[in-house]
Amino acid sequence: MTVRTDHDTVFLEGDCGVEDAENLASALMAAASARVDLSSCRQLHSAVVQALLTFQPSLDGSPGDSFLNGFVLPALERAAAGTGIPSSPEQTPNTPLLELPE
Amino acid sequence: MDELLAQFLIEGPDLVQQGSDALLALERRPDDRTLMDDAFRAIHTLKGSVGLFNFPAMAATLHAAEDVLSAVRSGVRAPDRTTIDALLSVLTQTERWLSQLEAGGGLADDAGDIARRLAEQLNASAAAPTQAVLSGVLPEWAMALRHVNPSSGALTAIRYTPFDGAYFSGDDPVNLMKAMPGLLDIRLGLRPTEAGAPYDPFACRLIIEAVATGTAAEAKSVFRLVSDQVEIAVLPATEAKVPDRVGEAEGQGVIRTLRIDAGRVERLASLVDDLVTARTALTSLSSLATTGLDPSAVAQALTAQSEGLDRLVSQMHQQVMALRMTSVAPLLRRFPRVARELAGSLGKDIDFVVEDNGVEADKKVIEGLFEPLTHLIRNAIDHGVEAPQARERAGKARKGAIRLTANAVAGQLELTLEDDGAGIDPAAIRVAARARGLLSAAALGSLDDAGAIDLIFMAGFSTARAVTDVSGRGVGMDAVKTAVQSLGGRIVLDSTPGLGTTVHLRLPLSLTLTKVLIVVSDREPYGVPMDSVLETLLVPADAVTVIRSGRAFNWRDQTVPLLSLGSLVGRDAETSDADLKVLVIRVGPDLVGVTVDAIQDRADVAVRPLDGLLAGMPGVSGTTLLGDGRVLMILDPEALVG
Repeated sequence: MTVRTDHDTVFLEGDCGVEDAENLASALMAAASARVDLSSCRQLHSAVVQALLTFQPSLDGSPGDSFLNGFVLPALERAAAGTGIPSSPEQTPNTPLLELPE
Repeated sequence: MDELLAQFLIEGPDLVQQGSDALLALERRPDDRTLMDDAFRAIHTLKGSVGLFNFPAMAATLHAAEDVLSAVRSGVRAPDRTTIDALLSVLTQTERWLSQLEAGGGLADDAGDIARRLAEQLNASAAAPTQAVLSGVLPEWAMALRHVNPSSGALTAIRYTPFDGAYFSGDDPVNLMKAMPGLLDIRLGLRPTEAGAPYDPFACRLIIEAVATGTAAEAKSVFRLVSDQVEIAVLPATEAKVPDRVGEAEGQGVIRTLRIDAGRVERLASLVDDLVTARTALTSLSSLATTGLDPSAVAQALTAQSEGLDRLVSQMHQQVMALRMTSVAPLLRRFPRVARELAGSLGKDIDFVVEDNGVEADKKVIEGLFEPLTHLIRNAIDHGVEAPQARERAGKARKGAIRLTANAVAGQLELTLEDDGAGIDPAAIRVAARARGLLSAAALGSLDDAGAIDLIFMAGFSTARAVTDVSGRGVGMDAVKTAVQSLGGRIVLDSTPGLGTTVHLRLPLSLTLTKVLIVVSDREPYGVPMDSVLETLLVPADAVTVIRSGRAFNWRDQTVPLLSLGSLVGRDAETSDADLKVLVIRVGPDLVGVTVDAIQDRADVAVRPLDGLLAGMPGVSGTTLLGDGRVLMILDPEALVG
């Protein structure tokens, strides 16, 4: 179990694989104000990164992995601040349309 | 040194040579599959060997070259000029790296930069779209990346847009970025989805952009499995970099190891066996002497033994000298590549032919020739061979022809470098010499054309109007002459304006025994090679005529100038009221008398070329050890008097 929810915080722990993307997405959709804690996370699969990019929760903690900490987190933060890859005009990535498949 | 590395350093240069030979031939016969295979095999083996050590820049460069060659083999890419150029540059650099490793201490700090530049050069000669990117037409996304990464060096920009089904096919696009060498930055974005569609956590919508210091070739290799989803662009350096000078820092040592025919070692071993036997005989002889044997019998036996030893020692000397004899072919074979690179950088086209004629010479002589020959070839290409248009106007073939030939002539190594270029114009030389104040107008006027051409050997002479990158950077023909002389050689230049220039180098084939005459001046002994001494005489003091500041005497109805060895070598001149001891010496076509204090023995000596601090000392061709341990300087009369 690498996605654990405690109150309003989702903890991503250890190696988060592609299968964790679904759990994370549902957790983030369930609580719009949820925070995500990455302090004990070692690796994030692209699908998980994509979920974080899509729902843009507040991120807490700094993972020990240098790639995560040095490249992925800053990229997520910049995307949240609107200085990531500019989106095309017709694109509305920040307002995800949610309806989770059960 | 690590044994594997030592082995690699022996094989590496051979592989580089094999690769370049094949590539140069491939340019002439682009359809020859064997040549492609040969070049591929050489580079592949080099790459494989480098992989055993931790030289990432070298490995990456050779890897990129191997990729290009395999594209050539599979017909994806043509072995055109740019491709061959790029591959040859890789080999030239590999050779430089090998000599850096040989010198110890690993690759130089700029290895990464060089590797990047080479990889770009390999890419630049690839497909046209890449070429467009390289020539500055950057896609918008790449421009944006350049903007946020204002580093000065060249960077590689990557934009990866994975397919929707990427996660299902097991791809992990974000983490693939980890593999990119020299990663500097990542940017993330999302592709738009259809409005109203629910979020599908397993449909990949990522866009990943990255900037790295790794090369485009490295990026291609990292993303080779998803190449259809990745765009790669080279962000040019913000400050243009000055490329390395062609051929610089190359080939201080050519042949560092010596490979010896096993038969020669066998012969040496058997000579050493004989030597051991001779020593045993001597020991028994000395014990005989102590038993009070008749002294004359002992003396006789000793003489016989000593003769036997003499014979053995001289045979061993011959054999050991023979060990040092190596073929000139590897030296000469290096030049077509150097020449091609130079010609390319000067926009000239040349045909470079090398003939080694199976000549062998002393390792030391061969090692010392790389630099002077490189310089002469530079000159031939830069100043000799005209630009293609000028050649056409002069009714010559567009391609210049340069031929480098080695021959063994009368116990000497003769190297001839011929070009069919513009030749040397004696009038231009006179003008230049006058302008540089090397000689007075009167002195210049008295020079014939050959003498004028010889002026280019004077220090400080250079007629190149502009200092080019290739030659004309202060190291002139005087340096070439000094280098050749320090090997005991001579250089002669022969030029016909409009038709070309021929340079003849004559060097000793080997540094075997030389007969010298030992003379003394100011209490110091010197060796004068016997072959330059015509006669030794006693000249009565009153037979010497004083002519202005000089002296002369009459020898066989010729007036011969008389010089003093002491003053020539910068010590005190001989002072004698009695008869003068004079050596008559041949200097080129002229004769000179040289006074000495005493004439001692003749001796057979093994002349060692000067090295270390003494290297380049004028007028001295080498040294040898005398029987009493003193060092005897062997004079080079021609250099000393001239």
